[in-house]
Amino acid sequence: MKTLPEDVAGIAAVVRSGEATAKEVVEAVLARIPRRDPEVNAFTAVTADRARAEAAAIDAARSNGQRLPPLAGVPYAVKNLYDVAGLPTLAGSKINEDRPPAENDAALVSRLQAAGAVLVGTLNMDAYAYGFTTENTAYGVTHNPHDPSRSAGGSSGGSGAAVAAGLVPLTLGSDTNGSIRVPASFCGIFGLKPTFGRLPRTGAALLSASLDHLGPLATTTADLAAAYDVLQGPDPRDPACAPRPAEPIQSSLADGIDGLRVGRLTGYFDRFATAGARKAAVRVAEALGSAGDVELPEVEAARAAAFVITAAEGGALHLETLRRRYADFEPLSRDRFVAGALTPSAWYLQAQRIRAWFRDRVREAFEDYDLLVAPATPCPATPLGAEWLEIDGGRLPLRPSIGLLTQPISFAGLPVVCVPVAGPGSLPIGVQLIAAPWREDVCLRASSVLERAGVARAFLAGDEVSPAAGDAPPPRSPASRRPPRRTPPARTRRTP
Amino acid sequence: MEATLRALDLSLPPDAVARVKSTFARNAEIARKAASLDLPDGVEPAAVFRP
Repeated sequence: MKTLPEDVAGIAAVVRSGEATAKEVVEAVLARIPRRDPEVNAFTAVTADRARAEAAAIDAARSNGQRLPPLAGVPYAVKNLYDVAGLPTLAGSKINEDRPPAENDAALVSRLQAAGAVLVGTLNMDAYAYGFTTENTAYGVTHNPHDPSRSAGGSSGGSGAAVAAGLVPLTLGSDTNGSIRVPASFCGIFGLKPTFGRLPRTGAALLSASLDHLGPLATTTADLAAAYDVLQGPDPRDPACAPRPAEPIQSSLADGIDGLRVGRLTGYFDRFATAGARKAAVRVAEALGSAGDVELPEVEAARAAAFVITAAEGGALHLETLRRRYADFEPLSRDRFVAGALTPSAWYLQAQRIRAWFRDRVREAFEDYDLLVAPATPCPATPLGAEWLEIDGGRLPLRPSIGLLTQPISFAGLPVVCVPVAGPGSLPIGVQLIAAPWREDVCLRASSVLERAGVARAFLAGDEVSPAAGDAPPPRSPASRRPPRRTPPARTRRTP
Repeated sequence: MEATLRALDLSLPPDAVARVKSTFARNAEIARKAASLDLPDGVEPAAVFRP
């Protein structure tokens, strides 16, 4: 049997060159899913007929001498809150099984299809994306591919586990308060949460319209960048999507970060991280030539405001369904939805005011720095069913606290790449690379530097997670020892 | 709490009301951290947030 590449770039290359057909690639994936998925429970539907039809269209185009699109033949899957024509959009809830099938694909699914990628299925998640552990009563728990007794993270747990289990090389998730970055951290893969407003959410079931972002998860920075480049572009159907043209990053991915000013977030971000998570962030910051520590003001208030906005918007969104079908809601989150629906308007408006104020403080920080580094999660993957998280002797309720370090960053709408590094013990952990708004290029270039230096790499199921592999800092070039200079302007600086 | 639930036409089992009360109390604790931040005049929510 032919050995096929397992990454996005490799698959696209062999399909383009004709070394493999899209049909061969998709059949290999469709054979792999029923064999391996039962161990992790990442998939909630497999779209085999559609996948075969999309693969056949790619192979026909090649046979006809047509130029293939950039992701031709690359299999991918999406969190089941994305509309997929012909399937009910579950958003993790059995209540939604009663809804009619989606008539159209979500905007990002359409864009991946136009780029030649092949949809093979939909993925498990926390019900209505309100959780960080993908413990879903209706569709089962998604298990961590590195240790089935642990969580894959959430709410895009299926998206993280499907990649780390080697089922597909690319998935899409969503991130309100950390739901791409937490599974990326727990599963040991790369995840991109773009700037708020960068990617359209058209055709995706939202949790909190003020805070929801969509983005990809993959096993390499190059694969994230390849997906990100075809996902970009304005969409007037989503009022939050900025009218900015696409700003492709792939061609500058290898440019490095010489001259960029890197800082490590301390204070709140140290206080709510275990020693292992702090160590991972320090290692990454040092490898990137960190120029110092940065303390953002009032991060705890920002996190609290994000919590209030999510609760209020999520509760209001589902109020009508709560009236009719409270008993059918996920037991782990239904009371939080009801409590959220009771949120006083004064709390909500204060939270939105804090968002505007905090955004301005964050902008000030980026006058002195180009990239900020912080742990993605307080600790590596947590045991399933655990109720408490211990940090330096203190005890916090686990489920809401997993997002403590991601929430303030998405609240400000900043772009983040979560990079996987060896964590304490035998588990990986993620570190956030955070840039100024619209500077996904900075996050991705830094991620690429860490990958080339061996500091960050994806950990697939069965890989040994050896701290030694990630402890060596990368070689520093003489240029990077020069005094820092300002980031070159993004290719498009127009303010929407 | 019960009056607000009635006003919202939310009819819940008694054990659920108790859990919602406790969840709301925890939300209130978190909201207090946001409420205690004294913002300058003129800071207003944006209709559509732009980072």
